[in-house]
Amino acid sequence: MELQKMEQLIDKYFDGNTSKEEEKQLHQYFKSNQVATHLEVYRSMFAYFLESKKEVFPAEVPLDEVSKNGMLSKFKSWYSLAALLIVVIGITFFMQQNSNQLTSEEKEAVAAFEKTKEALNYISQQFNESSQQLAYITEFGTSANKIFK
Amino acid sequence: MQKQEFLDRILPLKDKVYRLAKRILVSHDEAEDAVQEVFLKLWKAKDNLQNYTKPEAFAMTMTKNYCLDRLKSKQASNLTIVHHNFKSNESGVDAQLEAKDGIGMVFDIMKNLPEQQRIIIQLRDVEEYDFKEIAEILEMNETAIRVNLSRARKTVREQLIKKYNYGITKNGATNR
Repeated sequence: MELQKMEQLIDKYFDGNTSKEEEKQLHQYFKSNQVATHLEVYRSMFAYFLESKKEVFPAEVPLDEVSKNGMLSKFKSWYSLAALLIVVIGITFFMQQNSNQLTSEEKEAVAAFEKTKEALNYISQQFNESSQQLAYITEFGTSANKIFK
Repeated sequence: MQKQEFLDRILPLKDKVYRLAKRILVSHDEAEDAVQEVFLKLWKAKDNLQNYTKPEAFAMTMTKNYCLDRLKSKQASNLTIVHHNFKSNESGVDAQLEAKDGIGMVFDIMKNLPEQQRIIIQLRDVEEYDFKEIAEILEMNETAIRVNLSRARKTVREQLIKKYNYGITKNGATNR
């Protein structure tokens, strides 16, 4: 009688139609040592449910750290702001110094550049003048050719 | 929600959250990370928690969604990592559990169930939630949950019977 009832319950269970009460009965039955041999298969299933219920979260949930983290992150944003400021100041300072140094060097370089340009201009002027003078020589060449032909 | 209320009502859920996370993600480390993440989110949302009629269902839904997302991103980022390919260093509880005859078999069978079914069987048979609560957690209707639950239980049964019979025939063969 009891066994028959259990079998019915098991069928109902596998159809997903058992109530919580009925499932409790099943759990009780399979926990006991009087499980019929042909129902023995299901025992490990219920044992599994029982066992996995015992599993607990092994660590602490770090909630205090969470709140501290909240504070810390606020501080951290200030830290990063400060760090950013320092970096920006450092870079501008460095740049300024560099540009100051460059101007003194640059002045010399610019002066040298201007002088060179002047000199090269002068040379090219001289060249142009002398090439104009050379035009006479070619003129002399062509007339000489006319005569000697 | 005040801190004390959070500690009284939400924090005790950590074991349930952990078990669900572990059922979905399989690996202990992944599950532990998930618990921390979920509680961080809950903590941040604690001011809104009182708006929910059932903060517990909300927490479980959050866990489920987070874990499924984790699985998805793992699968997306690396095709070879599927949930049961997660390297799981089953040192503590699992090793003890699987040492017990039969239970380990069910563990293996559970790992191979589709996630949805695994979640449902976990919520019903281990955590003993009402169908109504499960429906709330999973945002599904009760009929669908019953169908899935039945399917999951039957799969476990089938697999168990297969293994059980295999064990018997193997023993029979060696006896002969």
